[in-house]
Amino acid sequence: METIDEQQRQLDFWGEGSKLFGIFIVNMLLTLITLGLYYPWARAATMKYLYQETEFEGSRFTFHGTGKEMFLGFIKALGIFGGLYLILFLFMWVGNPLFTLLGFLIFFTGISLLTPIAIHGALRYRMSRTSWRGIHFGYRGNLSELIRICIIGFLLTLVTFGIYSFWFEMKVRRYLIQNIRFGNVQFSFRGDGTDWFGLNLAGYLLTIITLGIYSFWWMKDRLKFQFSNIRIHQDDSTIKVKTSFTGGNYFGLVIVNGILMAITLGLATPWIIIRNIKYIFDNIVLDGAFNPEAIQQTEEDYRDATGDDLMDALDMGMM
Amino acid sequence: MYEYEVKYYDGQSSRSRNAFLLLRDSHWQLIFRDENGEEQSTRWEIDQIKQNDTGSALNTFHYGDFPHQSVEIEDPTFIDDLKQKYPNLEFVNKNYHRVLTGGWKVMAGLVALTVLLFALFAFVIVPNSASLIAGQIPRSFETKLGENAYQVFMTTAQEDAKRSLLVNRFAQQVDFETDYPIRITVVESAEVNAFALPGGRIVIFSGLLDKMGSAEELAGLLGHEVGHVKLRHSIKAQMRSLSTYLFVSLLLSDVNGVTAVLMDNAKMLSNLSYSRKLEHLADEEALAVLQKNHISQSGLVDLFRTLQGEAGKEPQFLKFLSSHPLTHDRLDFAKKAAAKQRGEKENLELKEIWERIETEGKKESKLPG
Repeated sequence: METIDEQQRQLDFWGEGSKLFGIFIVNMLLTLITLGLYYPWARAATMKYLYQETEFEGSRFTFHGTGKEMFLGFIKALGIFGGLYLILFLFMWVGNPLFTLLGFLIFFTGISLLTPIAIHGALRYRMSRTSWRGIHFGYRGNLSELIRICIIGFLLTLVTFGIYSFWFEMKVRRYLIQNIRFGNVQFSFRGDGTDWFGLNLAGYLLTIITLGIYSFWWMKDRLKFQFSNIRIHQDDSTIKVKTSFTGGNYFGLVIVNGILMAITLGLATPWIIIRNIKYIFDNIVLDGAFNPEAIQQTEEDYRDATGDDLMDALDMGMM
Repeated sequence: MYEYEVKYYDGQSSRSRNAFLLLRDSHWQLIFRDENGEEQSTRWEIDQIKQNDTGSALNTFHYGDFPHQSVEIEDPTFIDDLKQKYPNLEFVNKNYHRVLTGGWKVMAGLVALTVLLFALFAFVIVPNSASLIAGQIPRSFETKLGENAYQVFMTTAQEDAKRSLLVNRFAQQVDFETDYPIRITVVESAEVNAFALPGGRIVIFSGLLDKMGSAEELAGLLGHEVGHVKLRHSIKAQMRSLSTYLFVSLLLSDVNGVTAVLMDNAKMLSNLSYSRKLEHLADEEALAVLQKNHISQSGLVDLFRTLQGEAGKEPQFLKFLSSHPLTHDRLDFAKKAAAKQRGEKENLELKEIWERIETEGKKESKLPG
């Protein structure tokens, strides 16, 4: 069992736009025919394909989630949302301003609690359903701890008129990443709120001054920050993530994507998704002593997709 | 021979092993060398091998319960070989693979079918079921909606209380054949317009009232607006546009801005043609009300002349884009109906109230400011 120092490794992506396009069309058709019921299976099919085409050290990733699991989660997520909306409407129906206020209070408390619950559940599900070389990922975070972080962060963000949100975001990210396991491999995130705030403030101001031109460099800086602060720990060695994002290559990605999108009226979406994934993979390098042969299975199976579906629902802009 | 070079993972560690896979009748056999270089063999029972359909050129198969053993096979003939070797077993979904590998003709067919279905849902099924549902909405809810909208509107509007009173008195003399409580508000505004809210509220801008010249014209206008109320047009149109919006945004949320904008425009056109239909239906209602009350249907003709004078000559190409059917078309329609009308009588009570409305209007326009 040799470990080589000074190693650099990259993720490869083999996905093809035409295949993804086929998957999307079949998904859309079946979703329409089944009046939306197929949607969870559609999501599973897309994820399975994208994972299968992701390669690291000569082996592909696997997504084990199934349409059935996500459908059950979808039903639960729907029930939770439906319940919250029902409460809101019932309180509004009374017509009394006090009740309306109370209804909104319950609704928004519910929604804000839902966010950490969704993140927690989604991460547990996604990680458990992801494997590489038969070894499953896992998320070991504690839900009540995450809720505590979120409530404090939310209140501080309110009090500071949003400024604290940068520290809040980093706190959540650090907590989530440090609780991810891949067999006996661990992860951590080193980014802190002050740097994140400074980066965004400078990016914002320079974007205004340069009439938007700087925005590509700002986005590049954000990407770089999010990836280059990740550390991977295996036994005693630490692997760093090196990035080569530049304002120029980010500009190229976005402009070509925009042109493709405009001339194909959106039909190029699958190709653009693949371009985006390749862009990320091409510009990150795992740097450090890592032994891909020595990861032991440690995590348990977890099949509840409610959190994942809640996340999806929140993303869909139901808020 | 059904022998393949594969990568084998035992589910315990991430060690990657090059192995030979042999397809047997009742099981798969995997042969590989362990860490000490000794040959090992493992047996996968057919019924515990899990399919993993991804559409990728590289196939992964898992075996047994968690933690799974797995193999990766890159051989392009493997899927076909599986079908040959085990004709009665489904390791992969054949139809799915056939579609994904069917080439551009199959794809083009699928795209056409999807677009067709999408259009059918977005422009026919979803909006029509929404109006159907809107027809079932309880009246109390409808009244509440209209009342809310009215309150919001009135916070920025100035009511002409005297003329409101008179117009309401006018309306009481006419039988609209509806149990909706019709309540009319005249609002100070130069705009030449009027609208109906769900539940029976009608708002008339003083600009329109000032331009009108007879009791019959006012009766025509009220007939038209009450028609909207009776046929629940406002709530139907809202439900339609909201449902289409929800449907489109749910399906296209993951797609992109350009398509969304295109869909928006298509939707607007479809909404406009719907609203033209509603205007026509309300005109028919107005004619029926005038006939029923023995009021001359030329009142509606006069109303359209008033509106036409206001709108100026609208070019023909705007026909489809106009939110109301062109006054010219509506004018012709009303003229034809009025020409056939029999049995109209002069209604002195209406005439008297109308004259008082006119006098009030003139008084106000003389006031400074």
